[in-house]
Amino acid sequence: MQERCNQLLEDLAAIVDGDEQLLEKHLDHLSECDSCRDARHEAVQAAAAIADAGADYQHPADFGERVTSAVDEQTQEKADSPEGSDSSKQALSVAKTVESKVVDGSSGTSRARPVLWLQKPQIRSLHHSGQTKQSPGLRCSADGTRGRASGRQALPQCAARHRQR
Amino acid sequence: MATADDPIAKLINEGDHRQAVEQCVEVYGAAIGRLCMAMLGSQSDAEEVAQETLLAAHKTMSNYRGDGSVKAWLFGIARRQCARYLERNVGKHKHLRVVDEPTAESGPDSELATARRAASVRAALALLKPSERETLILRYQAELSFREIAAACGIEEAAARKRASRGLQHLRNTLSREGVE
Repeated sequence: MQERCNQLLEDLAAIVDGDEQLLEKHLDHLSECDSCRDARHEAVQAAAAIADAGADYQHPADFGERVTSAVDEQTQEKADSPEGSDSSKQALSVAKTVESKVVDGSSGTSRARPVLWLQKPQIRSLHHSGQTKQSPGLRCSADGTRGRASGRQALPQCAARHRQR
Repeated sequence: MATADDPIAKLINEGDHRQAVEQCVEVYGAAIGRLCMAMLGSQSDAEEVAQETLLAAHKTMSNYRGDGSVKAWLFGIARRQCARYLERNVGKHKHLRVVDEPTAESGPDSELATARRAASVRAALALLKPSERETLILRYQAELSFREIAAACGIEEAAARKRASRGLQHLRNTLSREGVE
């Protein structure tokens, strides 16, 4: 009996998926083993529960824009290599302002926010000159927050610099 | 969808990688985000890793061989990006950070209930072995076939089924204990 239970448990995922061949193979055992019938029932429920594991994710309205901007940055960076020739002043002067739509979660309305984009070599240049400790590739928005995706993480040195402006 | 008929695969093969990544965002962006959310349990982390996934896909499009579906290829990258993120942060947080307690500000009651249920399932999934957890999420959350999971994880299809079966056995015990239905 135990061996047949083990065989069924090995095939549990396929049985949950409704594999008729395997179901036929285990049907006799299923009909007489309460433990395996319960296992199948609970496995079906578990599979249904997993479908909800990411259900609370809220896809940002500007996700596509973020990705294409980052892709363009990646492409530009590739085209610009070898890197590191920019001075920090040049790097700051060529920082590109883009509009980033941010969806206000509470009202569902969207507003535009200016964001400063620094190319990775430019950030490295700043970093090497001691002006910033910001990690390469992260963006520094106009309100002194950073983050490729959310922009929610406060960056003290950026916030301080923005307050001075 | 067969790879040959997939418009995204066609764009990749034609070398139009920017257009291909735009299509990937449109077709799979939200699904990748949900997969990352299921694996990481944090909205901001999920957004960031979903973006990293598409960037990594763009970067490696020239290596895409078309052996499996574009979906399996993308979700395989997402799986690796999530694993990389978790492994990098697991020491810092001492345990997997897969549960964000929903707050009262999360929204209406149904939204709150969804968030609570999702958090409970992630908490149960967090107790599984990473290989089993990833297989279960790819199968039942991202709805990849076992063949696609095998391609995404670099394993045999039979091994993918076995991992899912074992994962389901472990998960059903945890969910039963915690009363998640």
